[in-house]
Amino acid sequence: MDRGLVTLIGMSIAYVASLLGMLFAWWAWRKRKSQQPKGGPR
Amino acid sequence: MIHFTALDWFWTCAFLLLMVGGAFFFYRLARRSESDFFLAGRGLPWWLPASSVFSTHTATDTPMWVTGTVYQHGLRGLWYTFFAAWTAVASFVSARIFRRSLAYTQAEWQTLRFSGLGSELLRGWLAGWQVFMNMFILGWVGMAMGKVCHFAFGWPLWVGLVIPTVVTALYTLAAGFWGVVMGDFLQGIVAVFAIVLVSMVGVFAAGGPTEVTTKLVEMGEGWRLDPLAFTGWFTGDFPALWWLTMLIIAIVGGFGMGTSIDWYVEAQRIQSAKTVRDGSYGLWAGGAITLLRNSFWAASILAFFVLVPHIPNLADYELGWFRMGFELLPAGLVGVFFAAILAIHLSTISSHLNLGALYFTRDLFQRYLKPEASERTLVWVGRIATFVLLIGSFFYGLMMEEITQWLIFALWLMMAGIWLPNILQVVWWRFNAWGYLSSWIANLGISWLVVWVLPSFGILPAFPEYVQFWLLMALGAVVFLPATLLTKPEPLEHLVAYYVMTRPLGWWGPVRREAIRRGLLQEEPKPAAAERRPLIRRSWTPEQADSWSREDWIAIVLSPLVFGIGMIGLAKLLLLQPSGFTLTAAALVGGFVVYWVIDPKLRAVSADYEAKQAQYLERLERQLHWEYGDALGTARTEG
Repeated sequence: MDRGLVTLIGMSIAYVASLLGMLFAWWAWRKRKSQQPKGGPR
Repeated sequence: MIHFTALDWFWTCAFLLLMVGGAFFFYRLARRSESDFFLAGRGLPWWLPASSVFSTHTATDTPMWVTGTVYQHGLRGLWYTFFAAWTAVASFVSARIFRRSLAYTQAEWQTLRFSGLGSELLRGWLAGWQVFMNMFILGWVGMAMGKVCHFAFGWPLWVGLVIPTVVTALYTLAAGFWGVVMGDFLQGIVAVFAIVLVSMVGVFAAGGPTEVTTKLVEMGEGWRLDPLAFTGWFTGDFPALWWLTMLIIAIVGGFGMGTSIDWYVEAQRIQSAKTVRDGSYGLWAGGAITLLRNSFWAASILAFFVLVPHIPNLADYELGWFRMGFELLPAGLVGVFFAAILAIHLSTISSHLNLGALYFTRDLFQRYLKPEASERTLVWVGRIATFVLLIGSFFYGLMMEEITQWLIFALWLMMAGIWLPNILQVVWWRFNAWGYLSSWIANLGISWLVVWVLPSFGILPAFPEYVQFWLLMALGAVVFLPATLLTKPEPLEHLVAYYVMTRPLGWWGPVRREAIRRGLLQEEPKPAAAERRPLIRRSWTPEQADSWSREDWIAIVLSPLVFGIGMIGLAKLLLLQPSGFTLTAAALVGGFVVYWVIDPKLRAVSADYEAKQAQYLERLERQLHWEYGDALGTARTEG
């Protein structure tokens, strides 16, 4: 297979892990926000 | 296959026992707290992080890679290994800034530099990426060990992959970073001994240093002794522009954080140092030893070329240094050599096991799942994460070898699009979380376009890699600069708190002025007319030391020169070339000048910062527990 193509496939796999980490952070952030009283500091 | 005598097995087992036992010894220290399990309690003198930097970056596949490069390119191939020179600049810039942030990881640093939702998304992004990357690197390095054991003993690949890695995991699970760093120190000594010994034995097997150079010239291969043997500006397999690109990536990259994949490992070592000064010297010395190691390898690989010239296949000649060790050393020393191979393997594996577990524990589990977890729980989560990484690495090593190969290439490409943002986030106050996040995301799409989609449809030619680097960087800027400028800057009070804590280099004027206006910093008084500043200041007040001055710039400029001259000079010195003496002497003098100029300032910075560190650490932990409006204690409701 073309070297450039396999490189990009490998890179995309690594990005999936980053995306999962980011989604996890976003979920935690939303949870924290919903738990805190409105208008107050986190 | 090689023949191992009883004496060889004795030495291998003895060294293994020493290296593993030495690491296990620190079990009791590691279980005390998260800080002990992952940063050795932040109390290490500079020479321990330094040996750890060197040991971690001497993996089983490193001699294969350096051998392959030098066998193909001669001494000019050393420049391919010069990427480690980012440490020359980073030691005096980003290491200092990062150490003052006290962040456990680069992901945590994102929430100190940036704020709000963007910073949290970045923390999750980097944590996910690092957990995955460490698992993948473990599989890749483990498989290299499998190949070496197959070459030496004819063992199936899985034996070399699994057994040494499990041995490493045992002490990493028990003793955490204490075990890693103490093991690295012992393993580093064994590795240096073997590298020097085998390299010199190789040179003398080819007739000695003078004979190696004479034979190369007689063979019509004298160009291999020239480190600047370019094949043109743009053409051939070593164009000058490729060399310049490598230098720029390495040296300018030292101003940023994450410009090299190695940064993430070194960040842990910088943070484990007991002072800012120890963090700087640890990185500097570790980087220097790594480059000098390459000089020893280069001299011996030139000798190997003289002994066995023009091997056509990379897979055959990349094992040249291992062949010299196994075939030229006498009985007994072969066992020591194999112990050294185990040493370089153990040190890399233990580092990546602990680092991946750190990102999982600190940035995912503690920050987002259970901030109130006890120290005991965190240590156990660290151990479980280490075990999961171990199992995952076997999966990559055994089941996905091809994908592992893909990812190795991907690393280089991945760095291209985020190289400049990695620098900007350190040196430019206006750069924000959305700009940085957009650069990561855009990098994937742009890479697909430039590297495969557009060339496949004939819209763009297939560019050489160094052209791809600049193109990816420029196209990335078209995305991240508007994303930065069209979104709000980070809140000024957050930036002020970050600035006062870390004192970054670069374009921070508005933030500095605001810090002075708030009385958090003092403006440096203008010297009286009669009071002249010395050319090199050797006595510093804390306020003076915190500002960037000409002494810093002397160290920043001189340091990569010392690294480059030292690396080439030592390789030539080992081959007894006259220029080798001159260059090595120049590197030694240059290294001393760097130390003489910067040391008083680093001492002053460290002394002042240590007085404030306990307060900063307390604030960091309160931030982790979501007790503040944002990372640096500035209460806000933005989101």
